[in-house]
Amino acid sequence: MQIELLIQKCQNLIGQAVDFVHDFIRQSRSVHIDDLERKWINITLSVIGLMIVIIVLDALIHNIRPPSKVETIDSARLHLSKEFAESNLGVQLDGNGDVIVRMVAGRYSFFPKHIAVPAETKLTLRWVSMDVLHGVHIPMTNMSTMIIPGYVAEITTSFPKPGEYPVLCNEYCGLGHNHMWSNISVIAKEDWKAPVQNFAKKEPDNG
Amino acid sequence: MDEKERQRILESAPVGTFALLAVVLGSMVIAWLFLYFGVFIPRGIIH
Repeated sequence: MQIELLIQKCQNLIGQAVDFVHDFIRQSRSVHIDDLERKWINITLSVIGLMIVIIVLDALIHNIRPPSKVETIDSARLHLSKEFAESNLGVQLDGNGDVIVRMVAGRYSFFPKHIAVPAETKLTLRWVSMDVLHGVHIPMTNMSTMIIPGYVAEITTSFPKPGEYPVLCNEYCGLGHNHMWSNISVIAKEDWKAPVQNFAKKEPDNG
Repeated sequence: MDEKERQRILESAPVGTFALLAVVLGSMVIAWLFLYFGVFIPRGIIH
């Protein structure tokens, strides 16, 4: 019943949007636009369209997509969970040999404070918050996401260049927000040694 | 400048404006392409 009402509302909204666009086009045609202005508008819109097309094509070719999975967790009981207990944090290899990084964000640091990961390797980074809303950003990389209490933020990416990078909080979380940071060492693939550690698998959705 | 030349200039296309437009827009597109493919994508693709 609720879904039917929702579908009805969406259909009404789409109808209103189509009517609005038709009215807009009709009114804009009644306004005189100089030829030079028309050329300028067309060139500008073409440039914007080109940029959008490039972004969409590149996303389709490289399978770039924003994380869309919703995974919940009890942020108040992380220490009692198998996956995000303190002994299970950091860098591990899963059953397939893929590198998984589990980090906890809390006022005012990221735990563990220092991790070492291999360069040019697919990494799955799983972030949770133990208190309030945080953001995490690793400068000079594209690793940037919000860490929302009650949810697991998962990003899959790779770090191309070896080096030392800070891990910064980019969402105001309290008076110590400007001091909230940790370190990540990206080590050349051939020099990185996989940690010898038992891993705990992902827990089923608590939501 | 006589009247005929003045009329010719007024009625001709603004070549200089188009040239400036092409240079500025071309530079912006090239800069955007450089930043997207030269800086953003090499920093790691997000899945």
